[in-house]
Amino acid sequence: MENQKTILIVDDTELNVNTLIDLLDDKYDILASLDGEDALEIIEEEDIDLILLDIMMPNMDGFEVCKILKEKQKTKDIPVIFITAKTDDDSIEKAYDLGGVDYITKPFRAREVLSRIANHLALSEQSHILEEKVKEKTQALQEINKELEDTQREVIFTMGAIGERRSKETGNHVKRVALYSELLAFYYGLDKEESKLLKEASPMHDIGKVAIADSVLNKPARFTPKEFEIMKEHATLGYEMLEHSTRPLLKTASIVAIEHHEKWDGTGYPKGLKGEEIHIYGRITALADVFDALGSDRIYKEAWGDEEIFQLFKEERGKHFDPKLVDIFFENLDKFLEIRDSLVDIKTKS
Amino acid sequence: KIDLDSKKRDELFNSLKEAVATKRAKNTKPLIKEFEKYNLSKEDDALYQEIKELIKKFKYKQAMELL
Repeated sequence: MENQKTILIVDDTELNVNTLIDLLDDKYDILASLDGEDALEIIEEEDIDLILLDIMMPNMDGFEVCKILKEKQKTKDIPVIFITAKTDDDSIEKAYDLGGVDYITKPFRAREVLSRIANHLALSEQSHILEEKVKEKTQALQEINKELEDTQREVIFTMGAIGERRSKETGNHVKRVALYSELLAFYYGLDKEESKLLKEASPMHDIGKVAIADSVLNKPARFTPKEFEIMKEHATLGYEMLEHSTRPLLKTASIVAIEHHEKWDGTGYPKGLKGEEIHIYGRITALADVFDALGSDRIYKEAWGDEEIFQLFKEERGKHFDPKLVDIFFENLDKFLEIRDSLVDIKTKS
Repeated sequence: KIDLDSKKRDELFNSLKEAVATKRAKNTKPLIKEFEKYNLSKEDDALYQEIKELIKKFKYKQAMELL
């Protein structure tokens, strides 16, 4: 019959097994075994809903069978009812300690056995239903969480792109800086997750530029000292836009925004931090940003050639940039150039 | 007991094989009853008795090997 629950009876006495089969055969799908080893084999092959398990059996007793079942992922949740002639407290205690759900002593009352089996099957089914519901809800929550994270990432990236766009910088600049930052972070020794976090946060490094006047931001010539002071404010402005968030991504972005113009030798801005006083996120984004900016056309300059850029990096090792990061850059130059070549800017008339 | 022709004999053993494969006493019991109605040849009876003993002990895997 379909939907019948399957019960395995394990007892070394044929008479006991047959008595139980006669009692249960009408209501349930019954399998039987006269020893522990055979029982374990059946359990491996069949979907068992409940086990009626004798304790005193030759070779492998019921306790050992139960212990093995409870150690395996596939069988650990099958309810085991011990059905035995042993009535001592130690055996009863051991049976429950090993994970048995019930303990029936022989001679048993048919009605009692039927009721206990029905109860434990119902409990087990309820537990499965609950587990499935929890699984479903967890999956739904994970999907919502992923959606939120994806949205957050997209918003951050878009905000970064807006900042770049306003200053008429190239469309792929933030994408390249993101990927250079991730690569530098990973080779520097940050774990994969943190490297990814920095990749997602680094597009926001210049978000403060949205608050800088167009006349300064897009000036096609060198800044006057006063204009440069205004321009420098974008680091702090960016930080102030992001610092209130408790989200790891925005927190990281706020660090990147305020520290990406700091210099290893302490001559950067806005705080004039030095060496490792500058957060690693700031040191990494500084190098990634400069590498990309120098190699790109900007409103105030044309793109530099590779040799010029490499020469500057060598000169600025330990001055502008963290020396370790410059070393990482040159050791993995091919990978950085690969990123650059995969995200080439398409020149448009402005 | 009823005499068996070869067709019925094959039919019975095939049914027994199918029942044993299910590992369920519910399926083997009626067939054992059915077998008891017939006169089996000496060889078949020896085989049947061996299988019956194994089924009685719920040793379906071993019974299956004989079938």
